[in-house]
Amino acid sequence: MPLLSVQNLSVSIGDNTLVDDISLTIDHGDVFGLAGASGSGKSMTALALMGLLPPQAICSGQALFNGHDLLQSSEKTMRSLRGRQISMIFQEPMTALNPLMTITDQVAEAITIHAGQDNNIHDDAPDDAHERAMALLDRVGVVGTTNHQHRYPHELSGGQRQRVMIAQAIALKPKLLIADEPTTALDVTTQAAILKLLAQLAEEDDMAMMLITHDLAVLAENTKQLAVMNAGQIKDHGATKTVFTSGEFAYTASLIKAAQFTPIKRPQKPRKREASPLLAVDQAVVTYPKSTRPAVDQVSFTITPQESLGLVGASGCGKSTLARAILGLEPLTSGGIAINGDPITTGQDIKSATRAMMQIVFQDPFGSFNPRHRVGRLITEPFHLMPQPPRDQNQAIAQALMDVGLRPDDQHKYIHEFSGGQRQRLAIARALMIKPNLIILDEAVSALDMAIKAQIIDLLAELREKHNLSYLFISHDLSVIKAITDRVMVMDQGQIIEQGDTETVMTSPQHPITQNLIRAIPRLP
Amino acid sequence: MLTFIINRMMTLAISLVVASLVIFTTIELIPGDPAAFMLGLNAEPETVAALRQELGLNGHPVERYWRWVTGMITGDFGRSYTYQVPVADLVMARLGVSLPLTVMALILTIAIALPVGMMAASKRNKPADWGVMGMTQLGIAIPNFWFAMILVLVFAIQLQWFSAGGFPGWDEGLGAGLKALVLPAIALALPQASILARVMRSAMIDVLAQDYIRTARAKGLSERQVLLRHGLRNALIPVVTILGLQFSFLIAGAIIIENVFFLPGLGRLVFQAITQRDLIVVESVVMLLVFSVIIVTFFVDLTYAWIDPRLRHSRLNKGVWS
Repeated sequence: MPLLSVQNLSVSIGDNTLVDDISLTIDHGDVFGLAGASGSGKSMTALALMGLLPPQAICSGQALFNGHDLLQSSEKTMRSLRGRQISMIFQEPMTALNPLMTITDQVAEAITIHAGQDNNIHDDAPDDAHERAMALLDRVGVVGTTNHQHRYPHELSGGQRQRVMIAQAIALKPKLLIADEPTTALDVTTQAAILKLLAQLAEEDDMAMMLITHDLAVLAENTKQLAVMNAGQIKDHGATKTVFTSGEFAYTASLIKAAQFTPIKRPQKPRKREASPLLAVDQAVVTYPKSTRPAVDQVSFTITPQESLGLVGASGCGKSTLARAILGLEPLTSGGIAINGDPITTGQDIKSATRAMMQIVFQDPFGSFNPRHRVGRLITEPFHLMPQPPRDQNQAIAQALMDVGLRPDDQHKYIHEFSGGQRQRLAIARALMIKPNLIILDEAVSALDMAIKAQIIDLLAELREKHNLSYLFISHDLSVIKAITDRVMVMDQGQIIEQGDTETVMTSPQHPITQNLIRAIPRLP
Repeated sequence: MLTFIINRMMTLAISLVVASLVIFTTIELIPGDPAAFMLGLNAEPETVAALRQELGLNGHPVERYWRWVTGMITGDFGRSYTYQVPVADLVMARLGVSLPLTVMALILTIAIALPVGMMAASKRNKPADWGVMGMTQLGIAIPNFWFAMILVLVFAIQLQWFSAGGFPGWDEGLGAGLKALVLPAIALALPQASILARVMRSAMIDVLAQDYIRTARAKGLSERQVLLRHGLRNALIPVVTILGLQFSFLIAGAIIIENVFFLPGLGRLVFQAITQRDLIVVESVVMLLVFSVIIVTFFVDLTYAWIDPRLRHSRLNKGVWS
């Protein structure tokens, strides 16, 4: 008898069917993958199994788990199952822990609230929940173990927080762990470490796992069984290997095709490196007050006109600080940065003409737009940097929107009326408005699904040709870097440890850290 | 944490100095003679001169300010012109009524607002929530002196549970004293509790939408445990801010309520002192009120740090990209 058997599960909110009649089974100790683009119903499926759907959601069907129907059980039964028999970890390691509680308390709570029930715990486990919590934190590899009674989530990195989440989830040795995009917010090296940890824990505790992600490569490497969802339905379902390689599964094949993107056209003109640089960074150092080592340490590089330069590195390596320094948002401790020969200073000192040469696109397009203004106003904001904004603003807005593949009418809408990919297009439109020379893209496609990511990358390649743009492309996603940059720099602990042609660095990395980074990328079969 | 406290203490000290300077300057240095003002239009020049001497108005302003501040520190607030007793004694006696009244109103405010706000948040968009929202709207709209009169009509005159006003003094026993403060404290607390309940509700609704609440539910906590263990403390951060501000409203509100209930408190003292032009008393009481508000702000800041560990070890945090 399988551990979990889901029959004809449907979830709807109002007239919206989010999960449409799906069936699947998970055996004891199995690792089951659930794939699909965002909005395909993966997370809703998981929440339905946990009994944590939003109150207005209506669900039907059957989900048998250990003799309980998870869809029909009372709240009391579900409460005793949650955290004890079925656990769940979520995507957002930064916000999924209570900021006001120590991590040990949070792990211990997962143990104490189920005290008195059959807890699946070995007899030799220490009685004290706190001691057990500390042992668990050890087991999942939270570092600085001896001292973490008093540590709070904000003192930990994203990867470490995700480990705390895992410690909570496995505290009572559940039979099923649902991991909803557990590594999407993490960089590749951390992702590899977390996935390895999950696999190891599942193995050791004989725990079944439902691994939910949009990243097919992650599933290809980590699961035995796989279901691929689209628009609430399971499109393809079977043994992972078969689904990926047999070629019989049309929807999965189309996803794989989207994942192996190459931009439609790369500028083929040979680039003259000796041409005077557009951006020159010379021995730049940024040290934050009260910090012992510089966040950016003796960094020098140049970007020539029309060049696309990649900047990669694990989170916390100083990528974003460097970008802030280039934009004049972070004062340099020493060294210099110049664009087109004009030095970049911070604050009011920087000339608006200098500022107008650079624009930025952020990772979170929703968070970087004011939700109360219409698109037309949002994307014309950079006009204040121009001495003479164009007379016909409507024309400029329409042109920018068409450039990024949207309609001129879209200027009358609000930001919430767009999808994630469209919002990122708007962010690019805003950056293009004043015809800058350099666009800094800080994890600009990291939050997007494969297919949409590929479209945006195509768009960027096209715009670069059309408007003679240079890019500084910051990302932890090496496949994206490979697709869009000419040269790449690898950053670690504030320093550039390797740089060169993207192709060369990707195929024969020299520095051990670069080698690790490239080895950690999950690959499709 | 220690750096945080020392930091806050410095702010507190500076605020006190600035506040005392402002009060001193407005009352003593603005055009017009305080002595003449206190004695009214028909005073004889000799009387005014004598009062000036008595009030010590003839010295250099810097010296007088110094004398006033050092006096306050040693407990000497000067002598009241109308009552002819030391202001310190006068204030202490009145404080014995006003302080318990304010504290009682504060406790009532918290005791009503937090549970009601939490309940409304957890029953969002259901009849209980609508009821709370309606009641609090009413509570904010009703002027508290009018509500005080209604309370007197119902509970003192009709039901005769409480007396309609006045204060028996603490010599009559703790029970009698507290009983006399019940209706005034309710009248004082009502609008503040209504505001705070709404703040609590919206703070809790924000918190309940957070990811860590979903985590708590996934651990198997009941709704009640989720609210109390993970919701309450996080929601308290905005609530404490408002509560700190409300303290000064309670003090200011006490002036009106003490007059409605004929309570011999600070509010009535300052009201009478103003009508009788007893500037010494006004000056001292205002300084005392400012002092208490600043102290409360200090404790609000400490409470923040107690609630939120991120503030305790806050370093220079440059936002934008987190």
